Amino acid sequence: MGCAEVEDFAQDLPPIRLVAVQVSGDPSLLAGAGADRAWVGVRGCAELFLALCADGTMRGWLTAARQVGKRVGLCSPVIVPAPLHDDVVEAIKGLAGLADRVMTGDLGVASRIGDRIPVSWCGNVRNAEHARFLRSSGIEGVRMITPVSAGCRDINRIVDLEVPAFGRIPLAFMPECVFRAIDRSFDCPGACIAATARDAGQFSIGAVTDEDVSGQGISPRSVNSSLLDVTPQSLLSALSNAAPRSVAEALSFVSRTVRPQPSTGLASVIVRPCFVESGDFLDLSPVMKPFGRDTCAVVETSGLDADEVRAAVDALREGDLVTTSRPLFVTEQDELPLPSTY
Amino acid sequence: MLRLPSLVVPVHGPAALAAAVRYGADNVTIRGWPSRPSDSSVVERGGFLPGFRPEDVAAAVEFCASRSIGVRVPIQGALTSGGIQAALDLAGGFIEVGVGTFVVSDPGLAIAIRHSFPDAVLLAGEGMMVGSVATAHAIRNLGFKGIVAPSGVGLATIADIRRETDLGVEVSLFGARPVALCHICSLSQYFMGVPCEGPTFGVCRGPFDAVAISPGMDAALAAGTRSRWLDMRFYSALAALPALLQAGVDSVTIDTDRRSSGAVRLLVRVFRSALDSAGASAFNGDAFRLREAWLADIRRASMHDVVTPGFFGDAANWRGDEPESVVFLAARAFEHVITDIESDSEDGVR
Repeated sequence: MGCAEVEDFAQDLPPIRLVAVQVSGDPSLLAGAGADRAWVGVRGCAELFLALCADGTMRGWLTAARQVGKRVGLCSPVIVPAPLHDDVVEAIKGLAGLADRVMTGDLGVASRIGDRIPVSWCGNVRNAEHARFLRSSGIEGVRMITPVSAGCRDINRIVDLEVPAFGRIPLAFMPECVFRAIDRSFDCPGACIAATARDAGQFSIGAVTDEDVSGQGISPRSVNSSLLDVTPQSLLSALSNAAPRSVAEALSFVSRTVRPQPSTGLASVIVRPCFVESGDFLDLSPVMKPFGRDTCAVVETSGLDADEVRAAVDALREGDLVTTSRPLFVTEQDELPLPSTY
Repeated sequence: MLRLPSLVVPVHGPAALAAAVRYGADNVTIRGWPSRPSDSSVVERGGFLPGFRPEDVAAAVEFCASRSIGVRVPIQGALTSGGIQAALDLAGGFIEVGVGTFVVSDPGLAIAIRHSFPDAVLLAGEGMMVGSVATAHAIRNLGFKGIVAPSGVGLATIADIRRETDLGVEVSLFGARPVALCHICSLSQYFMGVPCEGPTFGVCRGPFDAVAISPGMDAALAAGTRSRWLDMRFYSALAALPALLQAGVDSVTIDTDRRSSGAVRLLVRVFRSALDSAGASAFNGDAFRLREAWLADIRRASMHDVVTPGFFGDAANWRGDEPESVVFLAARAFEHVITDIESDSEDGVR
């Protein structure tokens, strides 16, 4: 069999590994990523999730996500405060027709939507018994929070399993989210909402009302990237001046304030994952084998441009190494030795 | 009828146990037993304080039984299949010496314990994130008898869970907890092959490079390009006691894990007294008042028994120059919460 014949034959084989992308914000910026699955939505703030559902943003994201992945998943908040439970469930049901699957970390939400749409549960599952319990609760898939390979080959026989394989690691909820969860009157600064514009230098920041927001200090994080982030700190500063009274108002403020130059493409509001995320990047592409072939690899796209996402998807699917210049996680235990006594 | 919640005190060794029992704990959570070298994911390492030796455990349980003190053991975390078997062995050992209650955060382990030890009482740990009635129903179906409520769960939800399920609810009243864990906590099992060696929270010592997205993190990162910890808030929900009583909370716990016996003594004394006072106030229809002596003891326990420097950051910085920083930090962070709860409780309890 010649090389050409081998390649023809190989095209008929299923991909080596399914790859999903976890999109932060507007998925249209990642069109053509070629993933098997595209997850969009909000994993953190339930209020933000509801605001985006109410103003049609989520509907637009789900539609646009078809250009990113063959199948589309809706990410709903991992934790849903009890007062918002009904609203979140109804919002999910309202969007069920646009998504192939919904992800939640809340068993209560899962139990209420499982009859309408397949559900993935976001959390750590390390053993088959836990997976069977989830399966018996109507949950079909699991998104692991931390990529521990032990047990994966048992678990992915019971539920569809996804593990983070490349990208920034969402580490924890922001302090503001925690306080907001404890006390609904806590003044949320909306720091999870940032703005993204296409093409370096081709966007402007300006106030559109009488609010005294100069935009000074808002600067691109990386001028070399075609996907340009307004730094969250600077946006937070601008938001502080504007003093929005709710997450929806903060979102509206960013939409009105961060605008593209007329000659360029659309600027988009990007919703950060509501998590404190790592600066360094996780790259498990060299060590995916222990996770089992049936485990879906997930690319966290925060901070990556479309080309990087596409390259990561291709590499993980084929079992290749992801080529990246991003700073990668390495163990740093030796850098700060543990004290022997306290 | 208003019931007084039981006071649950985590103890890390015999001295702390003695202090907890003497000063008014109703239940103790025994922690700090030696881990299994072959599978250290089963239980935590026990920090660097003297913990229970294997031969101490039976005596500790007997000591508690003789004083009608309930004993429970936490087996926290998500476990691998091998870890579950080791955890079952461990649970069996505890059951043999008289422990019948386990705090579990892994549904797989819960199923296994129910199968192997049908009489064991299971409580769902905070890691189970039971924050709604619907989730509580799912947990109940697993055989759990009670939950430890995550910190974000509101009083109304607690009352709903109590009313609509027969699950007991436990609430944490006092402690310091990080709002974020570092990558060492999150990924240590993969990257290093061993759990973090750090006492309580590995976030304290892991060199860390995070994307700063909050004012608190800005400040942390301003101190250097790398932050050793993300954020830590200290809280005391003493003022919430009347509202918690009204919500029907079954038990309250305080964070005395890995604290010295001196700290345990002070904290148990404070919260025992506060709990009794809240009960008396509710019974008599009086307003519950915080006592300055309680706050002073909490301050003392927080300031002079910082046995895990990472727990409060650099302990040296907290002592002397800013002797009340920890408490002030708590006050700042939770002032609005406590204010709200106080106003609610004044309206509601009487």
